[in-house]
Amino acid sequence: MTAAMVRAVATRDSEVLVRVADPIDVFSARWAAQRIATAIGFASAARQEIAIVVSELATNILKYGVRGDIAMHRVDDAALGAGLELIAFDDGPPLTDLAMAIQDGCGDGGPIDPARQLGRGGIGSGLGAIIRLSDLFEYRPGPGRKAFRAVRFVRRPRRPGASP
Amino acid sequence: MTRVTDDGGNDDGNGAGTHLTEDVADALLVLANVADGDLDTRVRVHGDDGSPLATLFAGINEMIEALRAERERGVAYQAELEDKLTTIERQRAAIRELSTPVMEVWEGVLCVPVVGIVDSARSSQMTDVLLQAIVDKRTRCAIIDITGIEVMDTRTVDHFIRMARAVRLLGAECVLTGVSPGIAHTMVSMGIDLTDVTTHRSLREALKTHVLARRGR
Repeated sequence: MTAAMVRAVATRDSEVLVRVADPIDVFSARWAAQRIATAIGFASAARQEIAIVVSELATNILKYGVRGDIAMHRVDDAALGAGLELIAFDDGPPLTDLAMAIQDGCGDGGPIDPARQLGRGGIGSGLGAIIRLSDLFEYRPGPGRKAFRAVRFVRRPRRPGASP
Repeated sequence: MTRVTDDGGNDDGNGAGTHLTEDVADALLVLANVADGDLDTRVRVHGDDGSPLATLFAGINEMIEALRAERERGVAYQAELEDKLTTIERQRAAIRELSTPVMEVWEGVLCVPVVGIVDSARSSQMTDVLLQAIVDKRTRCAIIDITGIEVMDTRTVDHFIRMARAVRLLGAECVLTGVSPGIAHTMVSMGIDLTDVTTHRSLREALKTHVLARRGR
């Protein structure tokens, strides 16, 4: 078996697309991400952080996009090394205000009234958590389906302002 | 596919006795194969359609065919069952992780074991369930065990502490157990005020302290 063949097989094994249309799919997505993350070589705590990112992406699909998919695959960056890329697509309308939505305690429509936070099924910090626990974050409003892309590297690059 | 064949000239009229012996031997061989689990084998039926032997052999073949169909159904059913069991196993794990049971371990003492992953949706759901349970069960003390949870988002940790304050406002004590080094570090680096939260190293220790305190009264 040549090296090229080995690589092709590895790429196929580490590429997954998970459909998210039901609350149980949040778990399936997390489960799939755990398998890939383990294969890539993420440590236990990092895998839990990835699981949180996947959960937030999947929960957002269910909440705002109704249904969608999460694509997961290994990336090998020349400078940053191995990592896991997660791209969540959904059919919902694009965000009206990204800057607002990524603020903690805010939904797409603005700050969440603390009195209404109970029973809302969230605390308005999903996107914030995704950004904090990922090394790269990108929002693509379209054309076509909107997408959130998050990449986490095995060796986290130092981010400005982050504590050591 | 094994088919017992005999090309040794059954039609050359060597005599009915030889035919009979050969045919019966053929049939016995087929039956032996069937007993071994080979259900693709068939008895060769030849000669007169109306003869008792031909009828018997045809009957045997029908029986083997029925057996084969039955086995195929069984295999398909087995595969389906295993598939379902896997799904159930995964769903059970999901339910365990996605839900947060609130148990009354002693009169006035609630215990909330949190396993798996805590994301923003779950922390919110946990707050709803816990605060309602504290009111419903007239709780004096709520023990939240987060053993096994290595990391949480900073905002979720913050929400946890807010939950503890809300518990305090409802007149109950909030006890946190099994805090991992990672989460402890997050809490300290966030400068969270922990005056409303009591912590214990393990759930066991917390139970000992708080259940014994209530038994003594």
